[in-house]
Amino acid sequence: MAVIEFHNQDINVEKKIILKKVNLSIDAGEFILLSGVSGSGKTTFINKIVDEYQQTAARVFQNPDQQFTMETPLLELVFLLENLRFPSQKIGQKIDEILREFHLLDKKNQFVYTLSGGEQQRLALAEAANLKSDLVILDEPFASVDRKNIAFLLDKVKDLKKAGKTIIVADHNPLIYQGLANRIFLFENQKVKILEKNNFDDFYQGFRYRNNFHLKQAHGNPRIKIQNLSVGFSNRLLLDNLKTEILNQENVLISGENGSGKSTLLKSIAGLQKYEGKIKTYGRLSLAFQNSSDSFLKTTVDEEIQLSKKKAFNHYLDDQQQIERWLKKLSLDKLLESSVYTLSGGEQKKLQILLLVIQAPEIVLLDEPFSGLDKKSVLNLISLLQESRSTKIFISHQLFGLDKIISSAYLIKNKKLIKMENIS
Amino acid sequence: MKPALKFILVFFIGLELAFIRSLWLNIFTIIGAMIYLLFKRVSIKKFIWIGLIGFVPFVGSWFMYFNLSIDHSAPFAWIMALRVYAYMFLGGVVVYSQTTTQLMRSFEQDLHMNPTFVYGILGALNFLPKMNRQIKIIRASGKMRGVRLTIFSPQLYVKAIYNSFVWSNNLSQAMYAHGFLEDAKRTHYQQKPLTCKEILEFLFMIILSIIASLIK
Repeated sequence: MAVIEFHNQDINVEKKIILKKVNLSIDAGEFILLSGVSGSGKTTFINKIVDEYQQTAARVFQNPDQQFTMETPLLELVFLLENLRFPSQKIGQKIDEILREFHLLDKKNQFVYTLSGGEQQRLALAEAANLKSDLVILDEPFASVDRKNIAFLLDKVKDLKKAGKTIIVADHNPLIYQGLANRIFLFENQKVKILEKNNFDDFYQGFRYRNNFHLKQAHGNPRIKIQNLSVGFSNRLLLDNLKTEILNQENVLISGENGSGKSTLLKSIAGLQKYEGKIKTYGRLSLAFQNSSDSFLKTTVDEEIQLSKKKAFNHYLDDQQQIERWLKKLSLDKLLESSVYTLSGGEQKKLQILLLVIQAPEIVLLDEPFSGLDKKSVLNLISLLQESRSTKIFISHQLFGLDKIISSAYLIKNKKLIKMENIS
Repeated sequence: MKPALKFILVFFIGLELAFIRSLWLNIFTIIGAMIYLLFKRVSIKKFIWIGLIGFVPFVGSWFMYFNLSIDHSAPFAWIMALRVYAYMFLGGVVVYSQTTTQLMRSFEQDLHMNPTFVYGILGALNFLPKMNRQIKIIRASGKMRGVRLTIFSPQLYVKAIYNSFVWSNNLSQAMYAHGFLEDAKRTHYQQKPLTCKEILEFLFMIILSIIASLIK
């Protein structure tokens, strides 16, 4: 039985056609995978489904920040269960059960915004799974989540499938869902194409990538010196007595599980986090915020580019022709007059990194710069970043393509920063 | 006492303070509120904070009303000056003895206020600390791009307003994704009905405040 049907329907956002003549139906109990480059209309399609669906659809959003309405996991679940008219006297017990199942019982009364990316997505899926809706929509659910959490969350998604729920997932890493998806919808050129089943293997094959990291011993002057750095949150020590030196033009990867303190370390280096110890930076520094629109100060794409050119610290990329070449490569060339706030999430990420490279500070900190981006865009951005001579520090759970740029790597484990000899 | 009832009581005493010039009402309000806050184990730091914040308006009011009154009446100056602390400690009762979530949920459960209004306000209030963090991020982001944003920079507000639009949209989507439907019935976690004792306490406090205001 079809739960969603589209008959040659155009899907618009504010009178602008995003998808043309969509003609498909989704049956109850199906697992649908949506695939397409950033800005191809996957989220718009999802929003349309939510509008058309007769009941409330359970949903895990792309940005964990969009997911929550209350202060703590406890209050979030109270709100959910009250809405579902769960018997009052059983709500407390049910909340403990849910939190225990999703390994969040010790976070019950912690502010949601202090949870790590992985913990937030666990809470989001816990809510979606308990909404008792027959339709579950996951929009890039694992974009900033480490492998351990992905495995955990995927098991829960499999349980939902077994329970007969209709599941729709948009993800730039379809390999995660190999063997799970019944049908794959491809989004390209404003069209939704249904992939033939006998092409599934070729489709997944196209996403396989074997990283081949070559870590090198760095030489040169120091750019960042970290001495006895410790950071704590509400009486809990997150980073303990870190020491290291990052040298000029090094491209560093910092890895670690969700909640290990990677973003906190970057924020400390950027001066946005209180810490004990000493951090000395040599040269100007920019942090590419996880939420890319935070970096924008003007209205249109062109104004942003002009601002970065005007305020450039170094001149690695300031020739107009070169910039135009990159705009074209990143598919931003036709969006020069568009408002930066109407760009898709992926387009905003691409613009954010282009602006950083134009501005060229000596140190660039990148917090999950490629989350939610398609493979081609990631490779293009890596080649763009290779053109810059800044010292770059990356935090990224997705290692795809990073072997082309990373020259040294660290792991944050048990509150310590460990230099890695190789990345397997 | 239920937070919503407490809020109404504070509001009522606040109105009395505004319209009745009574030294005893001020004194009783301050002492009563202090005892209540001590009973609720509010930290001494917060008492000191209220004391410090109120000190300048307290002294200023005393001298202003003393000098402005035709007969240079000291009792009148004391009434007006102590009103500052009476209002501050009353505010302290609302702010420090319960969370906003408890207060708004009590409005819904005890006073049957519309849940859409209650959870809309609550959701919006939960965005306030986020807004604060956002302003810091916008300023840091400006600094990193070589643009100094001060509190007078329009860019700061344009971005803050943009974020508010995004958040308001996110909030309605998130509330919907939590199964919230306007005018739909809901159950209530840890709901305790209003007791006779609470209503009597409320009435007793109202009567006490009226008596205090009548003492000459």
